[in-house]
Amino acid sequence: MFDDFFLISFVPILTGLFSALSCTLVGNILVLRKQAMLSDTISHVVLPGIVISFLIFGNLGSHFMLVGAAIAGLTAVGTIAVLRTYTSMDNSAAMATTLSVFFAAGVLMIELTAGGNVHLDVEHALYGNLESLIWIDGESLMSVFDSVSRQTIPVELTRAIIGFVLIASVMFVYWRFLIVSTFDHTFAEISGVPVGVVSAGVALAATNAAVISFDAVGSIIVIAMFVCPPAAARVLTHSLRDQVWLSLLFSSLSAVLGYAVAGYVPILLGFETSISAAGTIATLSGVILAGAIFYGKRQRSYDFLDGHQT
Amino acid sequence: MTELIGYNTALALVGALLFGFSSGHVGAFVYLRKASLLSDSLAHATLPGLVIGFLVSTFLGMEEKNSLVLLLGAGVSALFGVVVIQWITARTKLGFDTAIAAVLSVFFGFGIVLLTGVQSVSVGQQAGLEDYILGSVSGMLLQDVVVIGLVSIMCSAAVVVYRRLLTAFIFDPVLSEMAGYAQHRMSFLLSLLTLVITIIGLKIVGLILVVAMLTIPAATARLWTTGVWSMSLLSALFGSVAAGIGVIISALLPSLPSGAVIVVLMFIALGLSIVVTHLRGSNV
Amino acid sequence: MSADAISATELSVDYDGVTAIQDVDFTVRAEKLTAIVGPNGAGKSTLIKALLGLIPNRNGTISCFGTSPKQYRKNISYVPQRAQIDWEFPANVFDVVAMGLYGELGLLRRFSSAHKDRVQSALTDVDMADFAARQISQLSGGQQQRVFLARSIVQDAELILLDEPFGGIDSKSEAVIVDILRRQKQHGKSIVAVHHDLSTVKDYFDDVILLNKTVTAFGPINDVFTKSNIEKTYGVSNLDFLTGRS
Repeated sequence: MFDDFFLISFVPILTGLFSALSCTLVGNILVLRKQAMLSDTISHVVLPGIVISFLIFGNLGSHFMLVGAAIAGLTAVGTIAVLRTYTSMDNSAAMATTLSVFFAAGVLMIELTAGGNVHLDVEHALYGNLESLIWIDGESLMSVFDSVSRQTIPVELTRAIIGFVLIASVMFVYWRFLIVSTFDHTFAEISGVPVGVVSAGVALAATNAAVISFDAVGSIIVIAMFVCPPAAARVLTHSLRDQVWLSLLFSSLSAVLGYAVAGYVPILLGFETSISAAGTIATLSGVILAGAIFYGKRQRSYDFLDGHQT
Repeated sequence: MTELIGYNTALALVGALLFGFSSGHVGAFVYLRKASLLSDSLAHATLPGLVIGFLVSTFLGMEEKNSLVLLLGAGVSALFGVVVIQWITARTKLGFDTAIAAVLSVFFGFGIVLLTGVQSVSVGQQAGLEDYILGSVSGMLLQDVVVIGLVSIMCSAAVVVYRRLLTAFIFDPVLSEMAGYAQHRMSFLLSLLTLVITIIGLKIVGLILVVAMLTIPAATARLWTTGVWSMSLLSALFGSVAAGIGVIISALLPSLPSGAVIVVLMFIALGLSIVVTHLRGSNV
Repeated sequence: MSADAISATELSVDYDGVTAIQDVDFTVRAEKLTAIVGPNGAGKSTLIKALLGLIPNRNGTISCFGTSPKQYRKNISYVPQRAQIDWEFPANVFDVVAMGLYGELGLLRRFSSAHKDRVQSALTDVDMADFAARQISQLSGGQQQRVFLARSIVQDAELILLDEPFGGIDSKSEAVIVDILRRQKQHGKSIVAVHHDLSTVKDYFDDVILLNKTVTAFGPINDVFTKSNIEKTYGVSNLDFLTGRS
């Protein structure tokens, strides 16, 4: 059963892992800024951008997909602004309108051009396509070090790794600005932090994470990767540093275990096919969040007692 | 054969007109209460219940498309989602936004696990279940339309009866409480209406896009009028017309999911309304 | 004799499309404790935002020690209302005070042990050194306010602006905070605070600005904080119980 690990499972596991880590990094900031639903909006609105890039370049491997999705993201931000200016909508109604119309447009584009596309369908948009990332030349660990074999590694993995490194390094460099503008917006502005640039950067990072995760988990389950691991970590600790590390741990656990459970458990139970890896990853992240809330509640009451003693 | 398609389309049209009306009607109040994204979360949380409802009805030997059982499952699932959202916000320092995002994505993810599980053990035909995600009216039966129609009429009737209390509650919750209508009861009523509309809308617009039915017609109506009651009626009219036209287009071009067509139509109406009311210099 | 810390001439400020402050003139003396006092909706917080250069003035000018608020920002520190802060934010007392140095540190400069010492000494100034590792939600209201005062001390700004520093705080903590502010004044800082408790204005502050969309009066407490001026600001009479104390 594990013979073809490098052929079948190696690339999906790493793609899922790096997608999840990217989303979770940005998610830590979104949860603290009380903008968790921004991940909902962004993951839906990138769909038409991805579809248009796909229609132009013919495959999902193109790096122009990022450009297409970024343009769709910016158009959506513009749409939200227009709706808030010219109608009585509040932010949540404008987000709900924008995400549903962009997603609907993306679905219609897929269906209207469905004829020749076997690689992009509505199911793909809904729950990803992790299982399809097969590495033809992946025979053993040695293949990773073989430059010829490496060429057939699906571009989705390369993109996920590049995306993760990009998000992680930008966040590392801008960490102080991110934190101070999230904690105390006015103070940040006076201290010379470019708060507008920081907000736009957060949205752009979320778009980037949503796009590289599209192949892995689709546009809805990705929200779980943004929100659940940071939320679980936030319940368990008061320290921001611990929160980020814990969330990355939870995120890795969900991604790797989720793929393993989805791929192997049904087979072990004697069923022929497997269940959705993306769905299992999201479910696992939800289980971890629920566990954290149960455990975190107890811990909180100890803190309370501690506070009284001093 | 053409007669049969005509019959199905006519059935779907009746269902869509009634559902569009009541979703616009209720949506006006949801919109004023600024609860759009909560309804989005509830809609996604119906998926596990839909699949479990499907399994239950299959194992009980009913027809696999017994929509009542499916919708009941969807309702229980979404109610559980509400409970979880309340549990998270009450017991932790996590915000409302985080709670609804977590419930939306985890419930949907678990629903997808169940859905793919059903596909792999292939009990009966799962065909039809995916229609609830993006909406499809191709296989609508008389019993579906009867359920959707009756429940829609009940929701609109509830709005008619409670319109003043709902208005007072949304505008000034404290005042409405002083007048003897407990906030939690009015809040519960509005959540219940949202939940019911979401569930009966699954077939026609699908769970991903049902939030648009509760938001876009209301926002469009608000551009044309200032009164709550006139706004809710206009919103109902917009919802009804968009759902009707959308269903006809989707029946003519069966590959297009009806939900996506309806949402795009409603958005076009919103865009036109913005332009027209703006040119007119409307002071609304 | 020291110069004016702030002077505003013919200042008008809009907030959310509504005129919040209309055509006001006033000055704030340097190295004094000044209160901005007025009824709800008088534009106190708007005035603070304008002094911080966060919202543009529709009309008139503000100057801080001779330059515009935006240019002077590096020398201003700001203490927000406690209600504006998410106290569950994952940060401890040390982290919050350290944020006061972020403007100076920028993005890449290392947080050295010298910076650490500055944070510690600011915490000592407000008598919170023992709480450095405490999560901010586990502090009393007065302690939370002292943490923010430490943050403004570490910034070493010339001008300190506070929005309702005594909101929701018991009177013992108030006294501690007033003490800290007075010490800062002795170190040459100029301090302006939005204040809503008329009964303590005379005890805590040197100067006052009476504001209700327009400035009714400004200057030293003893000259300005009179019954008639307060009545003019609040638009009511019978305020004897407030001014009769001194």
